[in-house]
Amino acid sequence: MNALALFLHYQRLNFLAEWQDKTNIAATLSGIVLGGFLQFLMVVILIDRFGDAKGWDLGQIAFIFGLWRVQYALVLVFYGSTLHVNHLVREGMFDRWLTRPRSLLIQFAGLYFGVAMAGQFMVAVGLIAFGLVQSPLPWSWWLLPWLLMSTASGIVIFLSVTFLIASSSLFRVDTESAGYAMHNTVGLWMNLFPHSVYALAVQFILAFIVPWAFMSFFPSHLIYGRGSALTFGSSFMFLGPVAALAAAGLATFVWRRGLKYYQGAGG
Amino acid sequence: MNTDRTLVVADRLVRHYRVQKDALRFGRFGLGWFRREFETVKAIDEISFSIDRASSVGLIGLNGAGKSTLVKLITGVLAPTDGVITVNGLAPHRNRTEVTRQIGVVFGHRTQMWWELPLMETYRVLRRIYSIPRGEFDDRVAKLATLLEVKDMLSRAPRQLSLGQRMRAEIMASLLHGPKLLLLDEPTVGIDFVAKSRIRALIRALVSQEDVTVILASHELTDIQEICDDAMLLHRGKIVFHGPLRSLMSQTEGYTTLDIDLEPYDEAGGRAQRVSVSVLEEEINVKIAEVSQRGRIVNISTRSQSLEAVLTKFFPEGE
Repeated sequence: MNALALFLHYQRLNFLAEWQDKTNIAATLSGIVLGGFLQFLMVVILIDRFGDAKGWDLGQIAFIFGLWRVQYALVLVFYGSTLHVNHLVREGMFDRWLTRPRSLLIQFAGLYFGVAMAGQFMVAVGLIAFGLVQSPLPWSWWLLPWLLMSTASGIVIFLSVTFLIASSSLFRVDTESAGYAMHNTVGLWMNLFPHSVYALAVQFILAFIVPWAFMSFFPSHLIYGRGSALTFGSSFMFLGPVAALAAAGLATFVWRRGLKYYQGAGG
Repeated sequence: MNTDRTLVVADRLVRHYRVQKDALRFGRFGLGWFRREFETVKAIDEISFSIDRASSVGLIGLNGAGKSTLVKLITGVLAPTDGVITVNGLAPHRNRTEVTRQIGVVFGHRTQMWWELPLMETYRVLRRIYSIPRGEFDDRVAKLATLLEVKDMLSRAPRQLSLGQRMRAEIMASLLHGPKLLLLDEPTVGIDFVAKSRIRALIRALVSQEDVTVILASHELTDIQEICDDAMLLHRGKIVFHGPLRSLMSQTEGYTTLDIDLEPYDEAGGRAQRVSVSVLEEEINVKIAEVSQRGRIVNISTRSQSLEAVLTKFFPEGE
């Protein structure tokens, strides 16, 4: 409870600090929204030319990508600092945190609140709305709980992988480019299309190496009743929470080892 | 060695770093990356000392002497390779939460304040971090703001303050939770001489009024001369002197600093070259004759020994 209060206090200050520069917020926000629109325009043009992508229509593609981007946006708004951990290590921020009687995790989590990153959220909501208008979901009583659970699992997966990369900085490895590649290239671009359009090796990577597939692509198969089309078996539709637990466990392990190494190797 | 009077105790404290021998090693076909060679650097080499409560100790040493490593060992940021270090009877790296409640740290090179927000906002979040009861917090803010002359700046953001004002605000931030030990790492770096002198006077006042132990690591020797009663000289990870500052200064009793100005070599008449040497009073004439071999002397002046001159005797060969 105390930790949550501290986290919220941090975030309030971060919000207030960022709010001081409204022009910057407006510029970043509009850039993100415009970028997101132009990115999806590419999909619109391709689907207009080819009709569908391995059986997925435009509305379904927008919904799946939008669902992924909601999770991505929420992590970036609250934990965008994970992208810059090596700077934090180099600038001695970890030393400062270690001299305070609080969990490093809370101090780290409370470092950043990306007001402008709300643009990512707006893009995500826009994509979902577009997807629902284009291809309405087949309604079932379990749909909402399923979406909520998939979103929660997806957030844990994305946060864990981001955190795992960030923790590597504690071993003096510069992970900024790797983090950027995971977010941008493998994240924003590879998730733009349903993963079934890619070669088997790429699908394998997106499921087992960088498990973005568990965030929205696999769970969406249940929503659209296409479980039999899953490359690795229909059970993968349900494995989001398991992947989330595995990713969180691995991230925690590396974070702890990283801290121990940091205290052992020197700041 | 650990008595009621002592706050920090180190016994055969060792801290080694494992560093890559050649950081740029590439090797044939880039294979050097896979065959990296490491060596062990003794940053702190089996040192023992104790620091009393309410004392003020200046850590002095050349770059790489082990000052920052020692500060990090005291704060628990680093774990010792061997030996023991305790703060108030607790090993800092094993009891981080308890120990950090008893220490305040000021890093002169980096701020802990929110750059765009009023100072008070940072102080409020520190209240939560250190779980300071509201009434106690209000009292501390009122007392420290008066003592450190920060009262009129509480509603201003760090970006609106001068470097000297910011440092006073930083010191206040590190004292809000009432630490027993205050560690200052280069607190006057980049600050003008008027502000520096003010900060030194304020820290001095703190030591007497707050009953806090101060450990000051600084390359600014005047900081140490004006703030500290004791000095600890570190050289290549070893303590070469630990004791009262006045006893350190007395080690060079009978010495004088000579400033000898020589005629400029160039005909255009540039500035005179100054040679400064520390000599025993009875050897002044010999030294002057020796320096006169280098050129025509245009002026000679003498100064009483400074801490800088004293330290030159300890570290004649530099880094």
